[in-house]
Amino acid sequence: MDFKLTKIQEMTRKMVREFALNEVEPIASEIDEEERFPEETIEKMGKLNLMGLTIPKEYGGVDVDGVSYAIVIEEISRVCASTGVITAVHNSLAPFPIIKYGSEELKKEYLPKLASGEYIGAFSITEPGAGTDVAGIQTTAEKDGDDYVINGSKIFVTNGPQAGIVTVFAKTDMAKGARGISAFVVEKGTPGFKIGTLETKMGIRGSHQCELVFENCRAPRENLLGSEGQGFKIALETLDHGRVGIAAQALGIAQGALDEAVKYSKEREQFGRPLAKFQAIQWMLADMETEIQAARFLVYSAAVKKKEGGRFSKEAAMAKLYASEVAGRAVNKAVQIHGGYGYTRDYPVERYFRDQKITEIYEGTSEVQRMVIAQDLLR
Amino acid sequence: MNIIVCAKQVVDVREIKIDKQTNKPILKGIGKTISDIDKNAVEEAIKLKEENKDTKVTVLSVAPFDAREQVKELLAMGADEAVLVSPPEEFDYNTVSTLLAKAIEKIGDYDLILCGEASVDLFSGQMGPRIAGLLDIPQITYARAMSIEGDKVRAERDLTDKAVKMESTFPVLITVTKEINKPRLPSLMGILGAASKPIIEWDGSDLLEERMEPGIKSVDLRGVSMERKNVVYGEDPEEGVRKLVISLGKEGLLG
Amino acid sequence: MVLIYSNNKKLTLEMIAKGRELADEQDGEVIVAMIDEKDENLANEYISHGADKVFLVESGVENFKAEEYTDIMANMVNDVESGPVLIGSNKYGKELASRLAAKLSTGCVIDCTDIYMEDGELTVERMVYNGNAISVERFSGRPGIITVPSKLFDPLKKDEGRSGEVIEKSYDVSSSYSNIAGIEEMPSEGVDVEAANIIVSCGRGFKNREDLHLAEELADALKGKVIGCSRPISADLKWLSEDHWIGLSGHKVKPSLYFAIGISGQIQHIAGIRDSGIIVAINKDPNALIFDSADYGIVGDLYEVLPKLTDAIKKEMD
Repeated sequence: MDFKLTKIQEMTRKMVREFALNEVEPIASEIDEEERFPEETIEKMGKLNLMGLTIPKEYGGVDVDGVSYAIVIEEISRVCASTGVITAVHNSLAPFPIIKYGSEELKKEYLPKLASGEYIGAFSITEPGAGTDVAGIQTTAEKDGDDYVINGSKIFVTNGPQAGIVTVFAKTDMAKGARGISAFVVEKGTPGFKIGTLETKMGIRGSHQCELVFENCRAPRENLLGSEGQGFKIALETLDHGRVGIAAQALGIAQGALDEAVKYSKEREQFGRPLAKFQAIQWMLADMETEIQAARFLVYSAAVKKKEGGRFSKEAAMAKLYASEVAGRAVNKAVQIHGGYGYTRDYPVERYFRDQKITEIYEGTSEVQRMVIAQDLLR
Repeated sequence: MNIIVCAKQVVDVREIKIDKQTNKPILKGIGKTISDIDKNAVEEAIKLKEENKDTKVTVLSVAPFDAREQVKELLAMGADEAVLVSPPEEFDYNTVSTLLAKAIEKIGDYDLILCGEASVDLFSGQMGPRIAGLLDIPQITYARAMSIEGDKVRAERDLTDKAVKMESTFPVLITVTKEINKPRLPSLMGILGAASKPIIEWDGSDLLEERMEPGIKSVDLRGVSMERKNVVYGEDPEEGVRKLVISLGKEGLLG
Repeated sequence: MVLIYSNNKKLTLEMIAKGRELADEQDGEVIVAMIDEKDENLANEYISHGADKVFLVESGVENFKAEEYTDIMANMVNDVESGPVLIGSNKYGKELASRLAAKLSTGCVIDCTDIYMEDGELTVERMVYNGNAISVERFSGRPGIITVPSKLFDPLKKDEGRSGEVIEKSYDVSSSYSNIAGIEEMPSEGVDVEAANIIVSCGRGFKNREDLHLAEELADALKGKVIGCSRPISADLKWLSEDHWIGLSGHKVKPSLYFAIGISGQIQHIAGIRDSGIIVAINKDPNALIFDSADYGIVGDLYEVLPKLTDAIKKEMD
């Protein structure tokens, strides 16, 4: 077992860190305040190949190793969790089903656009009546000649308003429950595909989540991913991939909170000495550092496992569960160390605090992660 | 066209601290990086490569072979190849510039040599003009803009009091200032591609006909510490202004 | 023998003073090279300020070019078997000195901060590592080439009685194939930041050129009147001429009071202000590097802080 990063991983971290500090961090608080999607950042990320992390080279991506993938999302999230989740979803949930289950035509059509950042990708499964209970979705796709006609609506779709393409899960056979679900790719501008209301959120406000409405929206046969009835399997597999990305996002938030806490405790003086000289503060910092490093190893090892191609549901779940909860404790301590200032918008820890919570919820709540881990353990 | 860019590995000057006991700067254990103005030179070379077909960009550095790691980043930015020349134990500007000039002659077919105006650690700016002198080719220093038109290069020099437009046929050496461009970050594609680009290592002593005595020796290095009070008023501006004016008054700086 | 050259008269006079001291220690002469300046009066002025000989030389090129000037200087050094060669440390002098050193395969020190003889050898000090250290460097062998910044040495008093020789010289020059295609004077507002006692300096925190008046008003209130700036304001945005530019490649300043407003504090800028008395920083980013190098700082938006500060200082100065 080798705990050293490769030269490529090191160079990747250095590049992304520099990019994050120069281009992402300076607007992080603004996009949060204004709930603005950072379009300018996406274009720059495309040029650096940060939008094609998992896409094979023949379709314009870079297909980096697992650890490099995690590092990119970690370093972006370390300064801005909104940009972090935009990147994570775009590089995992969006391209994965096409890479694995899409036809050659579909891959040629959409993967290069995703890799360059021309198209932003999204993934839609959750419905008002079906969150964790995927089998309960009500959206339908009815075969009509060479097309499928999709009807229904989805909520909480990350990158939805900006998406060039979105993966939609719908029932092709209402009688079959989970086995009646199929997955389709729908392109923006398709008649009957509409963007509904945007969510107003506590955190990750620079990333947009919205409702998507399908009214007699026609997807051609070629846009079916895999075969009819494979949707549930595709969804679970895709979510495993997504979870590693969210785990890396949570890790980044935790590290960012620690960065701020260390900086502040060195600068801020109370009773004539810097906060960092007080043991109460030192212990908090030590705990944060220890937990974050432990989370990092879990996240990187899940990322490696993901890239190897075998089953990694448990590893992905453990990484997301632990990293998101470590992040929760880290942002909490970081605000505490900042005292009153930490509760104001003058310091970034207030934003980290709001941004962190969602990492324990989306792409499977902590409770679901525990369920997945236990199921695997007791198999 | 063949472009050679000279780049120097330097200690990260931002990290330097002074040892209070010995009053010497602590240079051990400090991170190394490529001098930032040399990155502007690399960026300019890559831009020229993008604009002119069949252009090869070679990065050249006199440095211990551990500089491979730093040089890889220049390859990731888009340079094609790197040559590292190991220095002898004792060296000065004269030795290093001679090694660079000899290495350039050994590379052979060159049209344009690019350097940063100076390195950020010592900020002497001797290398460019010295290399041009040794190769007996024209030098255009302090270029803040440049372009290639046919068999000519045009450049605009910033000489503080004057802006001088120069032109020259090849071969020619140009040193650039920071204004000339903004060095790109390497893309992931560049980072992955750099792994397979050649880094050639030459032993400096093989390039010199005889051992060179340094013309200058450093006999002492004294730290200059800049102790500042670092009193920062972070509360509301009104209060900050009030306290600052009191402090400046106490310093005897007002009135 | 000490050889001196600069295209700047003041700098030449300052170097003659140091050259005199070095020459006297070795019973040598001070020779001033004047290239493409057929000015006998100036030559005699150099003699009355301490030079022994002035060489008048023609380069054959219309304007300064390091290639041709290097040929002249190299021939001259060999001709007079020169010891130390002092060259004025502007951009012309630095590129000339470096190329000359290569041609003569000798040592060269750029931007010295002191020159003296120690243990019988020419010894020079200069700033390195962004002003964090002074390196003491010793020449072995001649000629030692040194570039000297302005205002480092005081010129000697004029002595009308001094005598010396003004000699016309001619040296072989091989011409370079580079051409000067045009020369433009750089805009200058005639500001001398290096001599200023109070400087109010502006950085990228200012959003528009027009907003610089906020800094001018503070400078007026302080009766300082001198506006400086960081690299981007002058070199990139061109809001202020280069005579305002403070930093490693701009001017190095030493006022008793320096205000850095909206300046992030890049190391190159810090190197230019190290010798300042009190440094005050105003920046809205509490993590801005400039606060590490400041005595006093206010974290806040300069658009809010500056007017308040200007008012408060006006009241205080009344």
